[in-house]
Amino acid sequence: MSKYSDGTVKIGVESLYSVQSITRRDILSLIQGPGSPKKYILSKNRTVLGRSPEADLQLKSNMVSRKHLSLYRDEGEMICKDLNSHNGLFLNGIKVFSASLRDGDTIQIGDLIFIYHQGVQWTSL
Amino acid sequence: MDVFVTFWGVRGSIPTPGFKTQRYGGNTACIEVRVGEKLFILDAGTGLRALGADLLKRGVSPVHAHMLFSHSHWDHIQGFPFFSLAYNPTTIMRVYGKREGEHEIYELLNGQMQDRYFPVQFSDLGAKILPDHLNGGSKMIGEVKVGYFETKHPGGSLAFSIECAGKKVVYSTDNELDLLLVNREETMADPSIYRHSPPAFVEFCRDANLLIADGQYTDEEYPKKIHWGHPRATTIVELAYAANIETVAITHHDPMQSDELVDKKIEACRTRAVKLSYSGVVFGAREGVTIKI
Repeated sequence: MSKYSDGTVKIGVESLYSVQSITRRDILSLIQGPGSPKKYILSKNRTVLGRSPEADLQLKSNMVSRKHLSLYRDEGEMICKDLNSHNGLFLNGIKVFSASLRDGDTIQIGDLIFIYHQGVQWTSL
Repeated sequence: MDVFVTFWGVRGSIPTPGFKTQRYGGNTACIEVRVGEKLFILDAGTGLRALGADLLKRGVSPVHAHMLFSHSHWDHIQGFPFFSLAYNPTTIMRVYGKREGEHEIYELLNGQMQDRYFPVQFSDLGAKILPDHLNGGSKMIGEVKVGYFETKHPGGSLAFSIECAGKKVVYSTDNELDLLLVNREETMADPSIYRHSPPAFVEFCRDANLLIADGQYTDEEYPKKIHWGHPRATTIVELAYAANIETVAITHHDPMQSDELVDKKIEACRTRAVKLSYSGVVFGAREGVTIKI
């Protein structure tokens, strides 16, 4: 708390600024398959999942293609898109090519099952 | 040739934005079907606005859209004035009627843009909008065969089939299939018995890779909505079983149905599929989802 000569009191400025710095943090939880359980924070605008060392999230499963799936932001939405994988992309059990994700969606690639958790989006105070 | 189907509007009757419908979506009927370079737009409900924005984002230019309208009720035409590419002079839009000289939909699109309803006139749209027709049954559009089937809805409605290179998509919205069932009386008295769809419609749908079908009501809702023009979702499962459909997308969700209620409706369809030993996939159509066939 800071007190100024005119009597103004500023309270918790630092904490307000720290709130401002928070952006949405979407999380992908690996709930089934090799390496589970594990949580990945999706901090980049585009994240490639696959077996390849070049993938942003390298997955240890032979049922996953080298570059299997892309997750990217588009106007506030998180989109998942199959990168022409061998075993496909399943959203809530349905084979899809791409989809806008919603909180709680289940994504399956090969023998790995993830749950997508949509983060909270903060705007300027 | 790959076929891509994207759901841009899956709600029936009236747009229903809001927290309760955010998962399946609140925009009214609009489906994009891409067959190679060919673009088909099935209905122009409010989902069409987002499709227009996405086509711009994808850099598709010039756009040559083949527009197929099931019928002219509001929830199937309301997005048309908000289709941004309709204002682009390089865009060509072909609006298909059933037969040569039959321009009913074309004229209604024009009519809904009269100055009492909308500030921009149809004649002021930059795109080249052309009436076309489906030869009274089916037509080849390049290598794509497009057919229609007259279905059951107040004022009439059309189902469409799109076929190319051994792949087939059928879109049948606003179709009260329950009224056409061969054993209608028995199925109303006892919803658990098998519902025999009319053979001609079964043949129209036969062997589709994807059937996108109106399944607006649950079994519980339907008895109060008879003759409103929409079927029980579970009836679609039996059509899919009879017609050997690979995947069924239930669409035209009732505006009163929250995401949780749509989930329950689809679960009831899946339970019925299990009882039939139907091996196809059943899911609830959801905005923003693209299926590759």
